[in-house]
Amino acid sequence: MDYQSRINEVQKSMQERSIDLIFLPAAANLYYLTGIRRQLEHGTDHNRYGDWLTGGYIGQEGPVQIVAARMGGGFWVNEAVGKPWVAGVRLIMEPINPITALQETLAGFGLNGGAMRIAVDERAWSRFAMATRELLPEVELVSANELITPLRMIKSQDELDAMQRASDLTDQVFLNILPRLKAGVTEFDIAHEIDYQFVTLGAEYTSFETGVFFIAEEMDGGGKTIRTGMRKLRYGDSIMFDFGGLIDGYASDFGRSAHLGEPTAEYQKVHDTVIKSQADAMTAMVAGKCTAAEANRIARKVIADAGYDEGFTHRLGHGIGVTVHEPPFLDGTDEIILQENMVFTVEPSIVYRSRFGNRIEDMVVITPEGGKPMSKIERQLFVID
Amino acid sequence: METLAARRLARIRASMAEWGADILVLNFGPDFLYLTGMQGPMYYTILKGPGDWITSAIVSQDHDPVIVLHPWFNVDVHTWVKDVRVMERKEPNPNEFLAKILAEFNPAGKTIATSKLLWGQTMLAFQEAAPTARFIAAGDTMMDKMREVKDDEEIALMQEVATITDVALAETIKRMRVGMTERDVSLEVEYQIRLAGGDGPSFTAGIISVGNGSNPNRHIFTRNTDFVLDPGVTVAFDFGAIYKGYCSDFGRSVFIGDPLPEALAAYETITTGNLAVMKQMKAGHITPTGVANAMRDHVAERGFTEHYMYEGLGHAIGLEVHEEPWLRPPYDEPIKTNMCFTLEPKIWKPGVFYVRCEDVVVIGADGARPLTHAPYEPSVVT
Repeated sequence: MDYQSRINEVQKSMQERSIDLIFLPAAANLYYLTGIRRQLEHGTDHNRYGDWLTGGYIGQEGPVQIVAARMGGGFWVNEAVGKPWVAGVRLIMEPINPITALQETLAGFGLNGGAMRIAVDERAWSRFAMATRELLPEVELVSANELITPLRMIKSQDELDAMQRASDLTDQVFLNILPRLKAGVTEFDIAHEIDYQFVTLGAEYTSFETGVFFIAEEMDGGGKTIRTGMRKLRYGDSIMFDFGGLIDGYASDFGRSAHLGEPTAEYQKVHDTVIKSQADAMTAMVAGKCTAAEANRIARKVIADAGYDEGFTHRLGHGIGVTVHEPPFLDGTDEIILQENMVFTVEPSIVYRSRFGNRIEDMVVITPEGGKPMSKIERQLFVID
Repeated sequence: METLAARRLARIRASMAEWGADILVLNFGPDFLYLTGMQGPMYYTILKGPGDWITSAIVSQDHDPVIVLHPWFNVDVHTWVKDVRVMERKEPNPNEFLAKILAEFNPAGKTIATSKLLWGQTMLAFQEAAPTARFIAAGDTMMDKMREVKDDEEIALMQEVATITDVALAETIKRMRVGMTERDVSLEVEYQIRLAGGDGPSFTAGIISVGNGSNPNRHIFTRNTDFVLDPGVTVAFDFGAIYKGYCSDFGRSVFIGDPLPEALAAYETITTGNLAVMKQMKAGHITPTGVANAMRDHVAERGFTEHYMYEGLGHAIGLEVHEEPWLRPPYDEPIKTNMCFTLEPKIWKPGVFYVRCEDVVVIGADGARPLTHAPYEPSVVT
């Protein structure tokens, strides 16, 4: 990946928009620009001294400066090795007040006061915005999205290659778990096996919480949604998969459907409808000739015409890259024109709780000939004896 | 009798008054769960769609709590808060949607405290909606300080998640074999956490094997590698579970093959150390630094000072794995009844052995009581 040219692009854009500094915590945008990996998210572990100012600082020129809390700082030091576009890592030791550390960092970019503009990552913590305003009362804070999102939407050949590898590994996971589908296994057993396969085949981890759904008539349990749990697979159940991995920094997202025992004629029809919905959308997704909203409309029409529109409750798909969901979104409102080398998930479904469920999902590259799926797994219904 | 929701709300409002906050704004996470009883989705940091950052809970002294949700987060919502506002899927202007709700709280000129886990984008929208308000951080002092002392419902959940952890360890040890890798064991632990009823791990389950001369240079900060568990290694566990938002953080050591006498003696030093220190952890009678020193002295009496890792004997724990205060200098306020701490002494002789033992304890008048009950007797896998 050519990180230096991505940084150059962003710095050019900063100069055009008079943005003096960008702050990016360890998340997708920083990974995209520098190759500094993200760490696994755990929503319950956020107490590190000075964690809110930990991240990359990018001025209008020059390399990216890293500031990191001491606890966990070794990670940043290691990540910076061999990356000439990263200037170095400053660790915040406990006796130093983080506000002072931020002040010194800003001063290092010549930001001591007066009018200026700083762009922050949408997933930075509020504490950063507060501290910056405290130190620089005249600062204008803006979102870093408009600088970086347009770059991320169009994939380079390097990225497409990485995403193909992510897709191939995901295919392998699916092939490895298919033989595990037998009467009596729980959704959770299969989900765990998927997670295990991802890690052992070389993924960093899953890209989101693995979904395995056994759907039967007279389904037990309350709640209005269906979640992967301890339900056991029984003859006559339909089975839906929704999973992905994070592989060399790129996310995959994949889905197929299966059935234990011979499906009913209606279920086969539902499956065929879902496949046609996806196929029609992919055919229409020609670079420069289709909007996100149109792709969504075309897929919905197939399902509505078959009489199952109430079973298709979500958008058709979303952009995917270094994060599993990213703009543009294939929903009813996004009128953006699809461009060559954008990558989307195309994931129609028909789900009726207590009856059946069917879904398919592929990562699809936009080309002048339409959307091309990355997965090599067939789109048939996988019927298990 | 007052409900849990009312008691929590009263406590939060008192804390807001103490710190001069008129309005409190929270995003998914520990403070949000404390106020609303609602657990955010496990992977709430994954972008869901445009405007997903409006997610927040807002409360003031005279306005009841409001939860603001993006439609993608309006799934399996269980909360005692009655006022939940869900944005329309096609809402063209999320900033305006949020501003209208905030206007009900009359934010002009007020002080608004925001949780430490609020997203930057959410913060920018709030600042746009209330340009004359003053923003302060609720995390570092106000909410963290308030959550130090647990209520009875929290202690009960801390006990449940500790029990899940005990079960996960016992089931994992049953399945450990010579020839497995650290990574295999880590994945097994996470699987067993879920089978035992946990919502998931509270952090990536850490397995660290040391010894046998095979990897003399391995640093214990790397975990879950492809190192194979051969006879002669010590295997240290460092893992926890989440259950209904509450965390455990726990550890024992397992020995592969015949244990080295020195490694066994080190392990006994820290397990007896935990018991000895718990007796001294009487509410009001000792400080976090005092607790750390008591363990240091216990280890010194048994001759393991050279390899004892003094920095950080443990930390408070609850809705977050790491909470304030930490059991180390300079923390010097006496500990209080119903605080929960980890006790996690570690002895590392590079290339020879690494033993750790970690318990979650709750403070009482007569000392600390363990919530984790896995046996201290060394487990040996052959």
